[in-house]
Amino acid sequence: MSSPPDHPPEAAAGPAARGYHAFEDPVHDRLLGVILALGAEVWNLRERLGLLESALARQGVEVSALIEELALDPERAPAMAADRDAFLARFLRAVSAD
Amino acid sequence: MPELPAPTQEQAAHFDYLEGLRGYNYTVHVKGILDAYERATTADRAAPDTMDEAGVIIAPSPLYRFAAATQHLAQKMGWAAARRSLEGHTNQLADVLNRMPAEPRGRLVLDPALELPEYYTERDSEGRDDIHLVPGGYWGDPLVGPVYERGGALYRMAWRTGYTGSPPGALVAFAKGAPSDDYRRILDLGCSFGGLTMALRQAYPDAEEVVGIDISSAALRWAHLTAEERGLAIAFEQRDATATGYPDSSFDLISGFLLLHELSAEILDAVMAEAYRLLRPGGHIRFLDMPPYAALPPERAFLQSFDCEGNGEAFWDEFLSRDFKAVLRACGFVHVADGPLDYEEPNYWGTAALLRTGEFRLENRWVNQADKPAG
Ligand SMILES: C[S@@+](CC[C@H](N)C(=O)[O-])C[C@H]1O[C@@H](n2cnc3c(N)ncnc32)[C@H](O)[C@@H]1O
Repeated sequence: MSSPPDHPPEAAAGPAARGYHAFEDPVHDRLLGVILALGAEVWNLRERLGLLESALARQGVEVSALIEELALDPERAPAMAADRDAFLARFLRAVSAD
Repeated sequence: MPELPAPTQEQAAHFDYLEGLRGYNYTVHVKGILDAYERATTADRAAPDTMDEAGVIIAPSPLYRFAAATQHLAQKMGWAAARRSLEGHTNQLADVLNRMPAEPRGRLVLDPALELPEYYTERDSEGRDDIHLVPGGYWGDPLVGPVYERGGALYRMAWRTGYTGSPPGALVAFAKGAPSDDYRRILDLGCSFGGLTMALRQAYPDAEEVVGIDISSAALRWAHLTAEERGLAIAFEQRDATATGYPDSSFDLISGFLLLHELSAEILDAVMAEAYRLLRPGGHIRFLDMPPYAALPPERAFLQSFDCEGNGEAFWDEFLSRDFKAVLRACGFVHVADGPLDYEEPNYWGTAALLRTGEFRLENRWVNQADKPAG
């Protein structure tokens, strides 16, 4: 891996340091920005899935009850756990990566 | 106002999210800050007398930092979302913006030669955020009218329903509250999209002329289209409020909404001197803006001061710390008075970016009023 290029400290701080920041370290404002943007994406996905179920129901395809059933299906449990673990590993890789 | 293109599901979900995020920030975080402040000042020390002292208690708290950062970020996300929802429709919007009414009741007079003042155009190059954090401020984007319409409704937490009352009831109440009910010529300074100008037109249907001036041609165009659609006869003219070019004594009521805090002390002095010149003897001025810090409890004044740095309001602090009544007296105005606007509005969240708990009215609407001596 190449080492990061040399920047004078002000340049390295980036635009967030020039604009408003509420936390002492402007990086924290940026991180919060990422979290809020992710929240927006998650909300959009949740809403769209809900709308999809409603749209299917209107077409006479009732999936909601089946979804509830599958969620508690013991036969699916191991595969879902494996999926979840893989998701968490991907999601949290940055925490332990050196 | 001309109809805006409908947002997609994804854009609508994004607007809903931002309204929800801000609502939560106000009702849980900001309210939490005020509750914690009250506990701190009643428990272990005497309540501070000044907003700076209140800030020493409030500013370091994680909750304040979190609320301030969230407000700032959500504001930026809101304007970006509003603009993005219109970007796919620029041709359609250009048609709307260019389709001037065939038989207008009022008029639109633009001045392409008008030089925009430096304080207005140079903020970003100073490393400051644009006004209200809108990219391009009021002037740099031809879509500013539609963007404000949509983003403004989002700011008022009412993007799905639109802002109730059109023009908003508070502006009509303010317009009607002027000392006389018999004005011939009325001028609205810094009229933007014509919110107050339309309220003045409705409040004084018999006035000979109602004129709104602003330096942003894009804003005036939108104001004109909106007023014509509502059948209101208003003249919108592109002029600088510091040097309008109208003859002395041309108006008998001069008004403005949220203009004062947008101007530096120097420019504001020039605007007030110009207003004095334009007013006929015995005429009235009446402005609606934010209350001075001195009128608020210290902790609220501190939260109100967030807008300066946190919401791109470069002259907010300067104006709200100033004795504006003294400025008016120095210009020669008499019967100088100020106070909160007497108007109750259910579901009104408030204007100052971090004081929107929806529970305290005074902080949002403040009237300054004075007369030119009858001579
Ligand atoms: C917050 S807006 C006013 C809102 C408006 N009065 C309403 O009723 O919605 C401030 C306006 O002041 C205008 N402005 C700033 N400096 C000005 C000047 N020197 N002369 C005229 N208008 C000015 C800006 O272009 C902007 O449209």
